[in-house]
Amino acid sequence: MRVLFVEDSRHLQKSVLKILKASGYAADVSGDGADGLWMAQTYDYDVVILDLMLPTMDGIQVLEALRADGVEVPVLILSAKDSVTDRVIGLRTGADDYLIKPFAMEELLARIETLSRRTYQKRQSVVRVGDLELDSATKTASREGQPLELGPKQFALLEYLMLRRGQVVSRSEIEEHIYDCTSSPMSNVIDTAVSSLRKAISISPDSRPLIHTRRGYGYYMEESED
Amino acid sequence: MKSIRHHLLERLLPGYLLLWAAGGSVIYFAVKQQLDAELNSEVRELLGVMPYLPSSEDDYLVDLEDFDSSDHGLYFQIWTRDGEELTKSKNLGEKDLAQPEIRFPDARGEYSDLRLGALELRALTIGVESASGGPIKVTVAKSKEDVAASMFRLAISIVGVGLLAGAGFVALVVVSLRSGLEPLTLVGDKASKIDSDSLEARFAEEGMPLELRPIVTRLNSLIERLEAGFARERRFSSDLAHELRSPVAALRSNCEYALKWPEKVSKEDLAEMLTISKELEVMIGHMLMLARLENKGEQLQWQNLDLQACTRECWEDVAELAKTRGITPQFQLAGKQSMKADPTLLRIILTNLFSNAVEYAPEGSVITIGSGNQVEGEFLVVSNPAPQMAERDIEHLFDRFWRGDKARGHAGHCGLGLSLVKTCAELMDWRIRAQLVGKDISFTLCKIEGQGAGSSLGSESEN
Repeated sequence: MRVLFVEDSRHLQKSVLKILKASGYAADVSGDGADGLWMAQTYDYDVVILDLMLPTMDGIQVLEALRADGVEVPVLILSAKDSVTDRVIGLRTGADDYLIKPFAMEELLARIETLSRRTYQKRQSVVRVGDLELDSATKTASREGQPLELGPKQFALLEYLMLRRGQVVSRSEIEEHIYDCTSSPMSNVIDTAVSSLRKAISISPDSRPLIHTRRGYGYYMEESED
Repeated sequence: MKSIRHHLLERLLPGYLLLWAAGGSVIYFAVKQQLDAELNSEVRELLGVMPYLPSSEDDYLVDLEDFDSSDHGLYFQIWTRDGEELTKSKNLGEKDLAQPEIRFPDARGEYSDLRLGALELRALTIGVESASGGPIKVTVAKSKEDVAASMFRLAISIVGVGLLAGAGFVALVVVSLRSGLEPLTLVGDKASKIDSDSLEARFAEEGMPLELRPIVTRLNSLIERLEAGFARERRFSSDLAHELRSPVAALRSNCEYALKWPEKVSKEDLAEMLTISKELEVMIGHMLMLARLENKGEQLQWQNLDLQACTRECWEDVAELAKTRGITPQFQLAGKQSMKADPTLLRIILTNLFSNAVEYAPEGSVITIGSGNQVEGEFLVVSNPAPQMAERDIEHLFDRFWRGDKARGHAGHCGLGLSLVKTCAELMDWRIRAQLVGKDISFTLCKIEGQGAGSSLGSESEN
């Protein structure tokens, strides 16, 4: 999952970025409205966290421009403005959620998860493919009831593939959703990551392969029939 | 607590009752005296028809026959000087009139009140020579029933009229007080409804009685000041809450991150938390200073200070940062100037102006510290390049918590420095003006013409 955080407070940028990365998200930050708008229009984010009081363009202007441009990315407004009027304006302008500063880290993460699930039209935090189960709320995965040991990147990759179960996911899509702007994955990094994930979710020699390759297109996840 | 209406009624009603009792008594006794005099005169006239006395030619209102029955209430009895009864009116029957002691001769006679059974009589007794010779004592009497009845009617009238007039008076007083005190009641009602949420309310001065107008004017002025004060406090609290939210959110996020992923916490994370705490400390310090300054008022410590020395001393506080950023100061102050100022406030002004200039001016730029146009009261001008500053920003520079777009994320600044500068300047009756000249911003300190004796400049130091 890839998240954009548009916030002018450098301290808050740093702390939220650490939390997002520690939670397995690929996260980018922007310190002003115009730059944030450009990033949201240019990259394919799963969620945008947007402050309202921003230099160059305020959050509402950014949101208006995004929606006018047809960008449907879920937007969570994170602001110090706590009046009902501010919240109503934010939500009516096109925000999907509104959180007031200061906030609890778990609440922020829960809201981001909910918004990202909405992107993939899932209502529950648990996703299943065959005997493989992933809970995005608790950041845990298990196969045949046996917990899997996954790193943040592996978890993010598995979650993305599972959310798009049955669909072929290209390498560039994986790159966009799993890695942030500061990472520059080399061409074989995705293949290596997928290979590593295949091993991680295979708990025994008899485990059925769940991640399949469609040559020339990418990967897809599906329970194999045999 | 009693109402004014109640209080006035309590004073006016006993006053009225006292006046009514005094007036009623005067009338009662004057009429009684008059009726008594008339009765005496009527009794004396009875002598004209008495036997044994020389008759006169006057026509009398009564005849001797009128003494036969009790209908007219007329009685007489005649004795010899020795007290032997000669005759008496038939209506006395077996009864006798009391025989008063008199001197002889006494043609004028003496009045007395007699009782005949239950009947009260006014009597006149004279001692004279009878028509046939020999001294006789004649007593004529008339019933006082008519006088008593008249006096009773009068007393009833006085009481009745008094009570009616009293009720009317009370009603009049109540109505008059209600109408007279209506503006005061309206003011009271309106004042009782004013609270911190309805400070926009004002009392109408038009139509207000002259006595209340100064009170209403004062109240309006007081509410206006209160409203401004409340608005300022609300704005400040709101700004403060808003300004505190982001650093507090950052601090909380850092703490929660450290608790959830302790293995990932680095020294940089801890240093970040310390920096946020220090910035919060600076903000709180500035806020407390503003609060203290606003209450400082009369407690200023005026001293004659050397402006040149003060500016150089304050520059030392920012000299290191200026050196790091390659910024150089250019002192252009005109000679040695002495000025009357509070040293603490002057230091706050200079330090904040210099620190602002050093932190926001582009690296390698020059900060000019000059005297300005002294003819116009200017005594200090601090200017530096500010390419990011726009003309529209100037009017907000001294607002609390205002920071330019580019300065928002500037660590260590909370947007209170210039607000502090303005407060300090105003406390010393100075004015601070910000001006954008080309790409340079300049802050000019000057005296306010004709205000306060606090600020004065001299050519020589008195300190």
